Amino acid sequence: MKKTIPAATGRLDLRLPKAIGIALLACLFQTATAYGRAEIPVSVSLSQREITGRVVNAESSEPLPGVNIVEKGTTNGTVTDARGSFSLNVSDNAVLIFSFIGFVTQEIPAGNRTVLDILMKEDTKSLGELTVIGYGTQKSTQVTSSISKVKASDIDERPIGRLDQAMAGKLAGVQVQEVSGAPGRGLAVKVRGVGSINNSTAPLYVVDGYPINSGLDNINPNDIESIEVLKDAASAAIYGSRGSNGVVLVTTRSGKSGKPVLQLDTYYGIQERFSKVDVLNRDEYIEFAVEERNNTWILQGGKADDPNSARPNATYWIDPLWLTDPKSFPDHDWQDLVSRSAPVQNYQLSASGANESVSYFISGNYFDQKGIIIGSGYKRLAFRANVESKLGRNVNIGLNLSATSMDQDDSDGDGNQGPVSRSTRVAPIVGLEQQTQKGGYYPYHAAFYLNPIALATELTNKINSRNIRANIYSTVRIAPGLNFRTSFGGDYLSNLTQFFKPDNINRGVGHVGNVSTATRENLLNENTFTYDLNKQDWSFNALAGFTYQQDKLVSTSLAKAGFPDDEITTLNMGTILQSGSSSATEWALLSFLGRINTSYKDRYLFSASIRRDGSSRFGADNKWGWFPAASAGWRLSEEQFLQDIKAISELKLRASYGVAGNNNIGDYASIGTLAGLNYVLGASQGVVSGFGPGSFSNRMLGWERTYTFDAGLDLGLLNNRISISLDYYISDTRDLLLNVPIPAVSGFSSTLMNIGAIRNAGLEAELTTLNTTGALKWTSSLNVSHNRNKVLELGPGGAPIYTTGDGFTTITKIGEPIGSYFAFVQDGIFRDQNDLDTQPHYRVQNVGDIKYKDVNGDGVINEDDRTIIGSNHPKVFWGMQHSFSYKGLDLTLFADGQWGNKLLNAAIGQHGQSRGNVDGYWRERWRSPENPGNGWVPRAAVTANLTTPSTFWLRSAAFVRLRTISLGYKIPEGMLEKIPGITALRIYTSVDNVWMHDHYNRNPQTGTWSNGNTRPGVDFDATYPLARTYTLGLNIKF
Amino acid sequence: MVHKKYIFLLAVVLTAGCNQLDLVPVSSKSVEGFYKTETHFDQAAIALYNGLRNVWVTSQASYMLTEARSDNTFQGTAYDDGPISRFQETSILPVLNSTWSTYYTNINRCNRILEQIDNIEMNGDKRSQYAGEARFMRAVLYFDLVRLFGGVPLVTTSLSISESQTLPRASVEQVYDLIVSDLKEASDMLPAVYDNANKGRATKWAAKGYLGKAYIFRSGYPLKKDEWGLAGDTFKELIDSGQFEFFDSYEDIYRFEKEGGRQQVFSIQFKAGASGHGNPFPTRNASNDIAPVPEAQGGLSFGGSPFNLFLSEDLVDSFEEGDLRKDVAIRSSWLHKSGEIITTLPTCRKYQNGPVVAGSDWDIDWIALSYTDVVMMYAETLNELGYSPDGEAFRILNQVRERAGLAPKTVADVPDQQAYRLWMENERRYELCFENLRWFDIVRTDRALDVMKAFLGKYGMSANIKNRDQYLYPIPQPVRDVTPHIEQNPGY
Repeated sequence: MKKTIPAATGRLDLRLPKAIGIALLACLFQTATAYGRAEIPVSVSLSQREITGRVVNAESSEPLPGVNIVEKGTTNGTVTDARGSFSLNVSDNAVLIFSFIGFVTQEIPAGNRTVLDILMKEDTKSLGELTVIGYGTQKSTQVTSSISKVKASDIDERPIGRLDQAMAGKLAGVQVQEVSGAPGRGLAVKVRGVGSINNSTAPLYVVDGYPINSGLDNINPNDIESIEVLKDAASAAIYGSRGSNGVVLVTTRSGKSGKPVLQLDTYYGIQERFSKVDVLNRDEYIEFAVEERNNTWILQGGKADDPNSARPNATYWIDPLWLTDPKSFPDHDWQDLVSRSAPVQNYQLSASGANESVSYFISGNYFDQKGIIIGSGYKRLAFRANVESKLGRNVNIGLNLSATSMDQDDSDGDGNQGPVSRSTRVAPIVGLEQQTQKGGYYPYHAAFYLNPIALATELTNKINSRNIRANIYSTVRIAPGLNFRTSFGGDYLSNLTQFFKPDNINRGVGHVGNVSTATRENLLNENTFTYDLNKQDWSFNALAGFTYQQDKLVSTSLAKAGFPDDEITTLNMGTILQSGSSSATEWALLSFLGRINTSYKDRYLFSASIRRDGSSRFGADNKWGWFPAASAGWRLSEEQFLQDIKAISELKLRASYGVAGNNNIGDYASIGTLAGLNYVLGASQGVVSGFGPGSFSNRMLGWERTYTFDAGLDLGLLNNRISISLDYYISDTRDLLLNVPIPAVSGFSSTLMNIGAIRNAGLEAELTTLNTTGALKWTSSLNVSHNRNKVLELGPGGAPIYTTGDGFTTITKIGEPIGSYFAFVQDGIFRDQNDLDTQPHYRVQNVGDIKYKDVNGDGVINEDDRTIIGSNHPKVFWGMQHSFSYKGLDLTLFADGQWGNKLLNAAIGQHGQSRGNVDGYWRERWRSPENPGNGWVPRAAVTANLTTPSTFWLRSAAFVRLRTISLGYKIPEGMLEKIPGITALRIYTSVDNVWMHDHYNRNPQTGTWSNGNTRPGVDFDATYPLARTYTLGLNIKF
Repeated sequence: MVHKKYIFLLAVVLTAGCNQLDLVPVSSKSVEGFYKTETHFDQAAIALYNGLRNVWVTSQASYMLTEARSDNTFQGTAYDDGPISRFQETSILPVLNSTWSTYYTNINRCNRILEQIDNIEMNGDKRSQYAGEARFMRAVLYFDLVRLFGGVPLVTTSLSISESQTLPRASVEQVYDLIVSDLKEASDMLPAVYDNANKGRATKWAAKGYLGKAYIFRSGYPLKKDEWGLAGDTFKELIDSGQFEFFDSYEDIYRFEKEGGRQQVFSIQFKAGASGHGNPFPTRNASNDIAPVPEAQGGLSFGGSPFNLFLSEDLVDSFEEGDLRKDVAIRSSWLHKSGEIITTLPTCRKYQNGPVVAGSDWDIDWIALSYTDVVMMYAETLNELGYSPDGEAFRILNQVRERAGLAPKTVADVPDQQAYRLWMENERRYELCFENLRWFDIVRTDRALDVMKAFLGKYGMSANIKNRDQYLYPIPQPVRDVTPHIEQNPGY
């Protein structure tokens, strides 16, 4: 069916856009006249003498570049250079105004002095500090919603490959789950828990105002100036139907006034394997295998002394050499054999500057990370230009442009048949060439456990991603305080995946190859008016605008087999077409938005916003939604009654409530689709096309809505040496999109409906302290988050949702967290015959098997004894950083951790089979009543006992980690003067992943097998290991 | 320049904003926009055949609810048909609900065609054909539902969710009324033959065949209407059409070389190697342990299936000596995977011939209504209308017997109408075993209670079948969960 071309007059109400159009025309007129009047200002000051000087930070004594210096009452001015120096010709009796964001502005009468050295004090009340909010900025002190922030200086202590890594451990309420250590692999970012059952819970990322749909692969973290995370609905509701999972606002660097700065930031690091699974060595394996195979054979009715010829297949066979000459086998540590020391390097060259008419930041970046598993790696080449220019007095025009190219080599390190998995499963006694087509298979071993070295080196799986994002914008001053901003941008992404698996690691199936592409074109137009009014006691700021965004994704894939050999891996060599396909999908979003921020006496703060979103994804009768929010704050510290309490320098109470949505419901979920139902017809028996209704059309289908109440407190003590920010929130997501059973007589068994609710409630604390000042400066920051996830309502009857697969089940049940693990509870081991005879069993059990707890106490073990055994939602997660500086030296320590959650290894059901190697815990197995092991690990035998999911499959996901130690040294200026051209130089060294205490092979955040909302935190013996990285870095300013 | 840019941006915004929200899927067909052209109706009709193929052959429900229920097989307990074989199923048995759902999914597709077909211009013959196909399909689907579950809700239009939540059950009689009227109309609307490109679609004669069958079933348990005359006339018309042939060889009926031939009135079409269009019947009904070697070597190409039919000794042992049908339907000795020859566990052989490219991917068509079935039902109507020693009814059944290599029966063997009925019951069992007919046959003759009591008695389970309530399955529990007003069948 052809896509219908919509008529020029759609069913939308045209009146509103028209009204705005008229306003736009009016403003165009204004713009034109303003531009016509624009004149180049001519300096008329009577320069009589030169004043030179230097501006330094009063506390750190560091020079301050970029400080604005203006002769009062004139336009005569300058800015300090990189060393904080300035010179300016001034008239007699001039008064100089020194201003710099974040510092107290000073007015200094020059008198007759010709040299002025100025100490600027940081503004302890941070009146000048700005926080980026949706479609604008706001003074940090005026913010009444819940926003967490990371600045560039907070994330430069360790090598960062991706934006999501930069956020890990830094922000309260933002859980960054390090699901895999693979270079370039995305992490799972959750803001305040999981608020959906079936749909994505990834936050919306907005880069320099552009809500992106192209992922994080193509954002160069070195370009980042700050990351603000909008956590509550009051801050995120301005993003409407996309705000409910939180919004991450990324601001890239821009030119700062002052002398142009050319900067080189580079580091080189060596990564070593940090995570490793404990497995059996040769002798332990052989002992285990003999025991397991005999036990299992006995279970089949055989006898331990039966020769191999009496046993039906290799699962029960015992290699005679195991008994006679075990030392003749190698003792390979396959995990070491697939690992390597791998370099990581980063080069960022940037130039930035600003003068009265132009500001610019341009950068080029090359990042190259080899993976610690052979054959894996990640490379990125990135370019950026952020340029803004004045066109006369009232018009600014600017461009944000980035172009990136990313290459990822992935030997399927996270796959359950990839080299990482197989390096733990292939037995140590297997030869280096074995378990391949060419090297043959060790007959006493499972053939499908392939050689991990061959898997790592011979599989081709290359992902290339290219992205260009350009956003051109203009701001126009229409009248004092009234500004108009319009932007037009495009975000183009093209991904190419090339895969080739040679026959040698394909078990004789032959060489196979496939190629897939995804091309995304996203266009954005935004138009906003802002109005600022500042009176003696009042300030008022209003925003109104409308935006339009559309997105189209085209995917293709092609798979071929029948390659003559593995020399050429492109598909032209394949002779058999296995599959070929292409498809496309689109969405469009039209929005109107408005917001007011007001404050009275800087004390009483109020903000309200509203957004109306019309989305192509919603049902025909439900296209438009409202997303309102309001927040208020009270700065008690400005009140008279607190002025006397000197200890309190800042105290603000704030509360907010709002509604944001989640429109990640699929592009066409509301539209009933046709299912292809072909048949065979005709004398020649050809396949003919048939179609029938495949899903129900739900014209009312809409977004999921999150209603968030947030109460917070910001406290600054002792001149803000201690600042504390606390938040409590209750966030209820309603109208969850669930597949609900409907009467089958309708022709369908289920349909998507907006039904069901989830609550995330929690506490967050951020604490920053300036512990010592003076020569030795020590600052600390700590963030702690607690979130409780609870299902409030489900579909009709509230029946729990069971999600079963890979031999285990999770449950989503009212009153419990989403996707809780649901299984039996292990109650030790049947230690002896008496134990077995007196306790209830699950089906047939023997001595040495896992004993299950009779949870419902009915004396019988059956499926009714399954219960919730844990969930992957952490009770608490935290990050902590200490920074010390002494003269030119700086030292940073960063730690993070979590507790209260579990993970599940779905492969444990297959553990204990000596067809391959087994984990180290089998050393502690039950061997006999006299030698019962640790009372937790059963006997070596393949039984239904292991494939029954129980707490035996579960592990704690808690961990404490010393994430980073970083030590830097800033070369003193005196020494630098000898090196021409260089104005600042810092060298540093850091170690990442220093130490960890955990319960899962130093991979406690894994979720590579499944990490969906209803099946989170599931491993399958395959998580790309984390690396410890030793880095040496250099920052040079020219 | 600046002006132009703003005007451009403005234009983009104003045009973009107003009409871009009504997007339809780019890469999949959507319901809005379907049923608009003659081609759409052809596609919609073809989908009905796909649906019927699924419920009758491809899905496991087909044999589980019929063959497994009868005395032809006694299934293992690993799958849903274990309790069905033992008359121990409850309303939560998954196959019951999946059957209920897929039947109504297909009925909805029929209703959509009938609702929409008069809204567009099209060739009158085509309109008549597509509407006839929809009525034919709807009738045969309800025919199964009424025999499996009794008086089910009668849906003849597409329903909204709220309508579907309140629709009550209809009576058995009402369901049969719709079946009969649909089949009558279909037999008037459908062509008697198709061109080569459309061979395999339901013909006028297929509709007539099922209409006669519906009359027979209406004449039996539970409605017991006397429509034997109507049934006989209908079958006679089909027989006299001269379109069909009583094959001389029983084996030929099921041979790939003869598929689509004159021995069949309506068949389900399959094609091997066409991803998803192969026939699973030959693989699925064979023992899971059969060696994956060609049939000639005693195995079965690509092996059997764990869902296999476990043939009852009752059936296997009761074939008369020399009955040629036994070897066509049953393989008494076969090669086990281990290399052993198995003679103690007979396995199904029907349709195990012709091209096969993978397990469950055979080319051979599956006969839904065979000409033999029609003539035997015709003979049955003659006997019901009046026992006639050595009459036409005798001639027909003896023709069947002689083809099977057996001696004809005489009046001495079959002295009265009741004896003829039993003869018919038995002959149909051997002739049509594993074709999902036996269970419905013994229910309509109300013999199932006796037959199954005796049969289960051999397994010490005769107490499992209690009364005629078990002629029907329970209404699936999920149906009653979402629509509690749908009453459960008696006895469950």
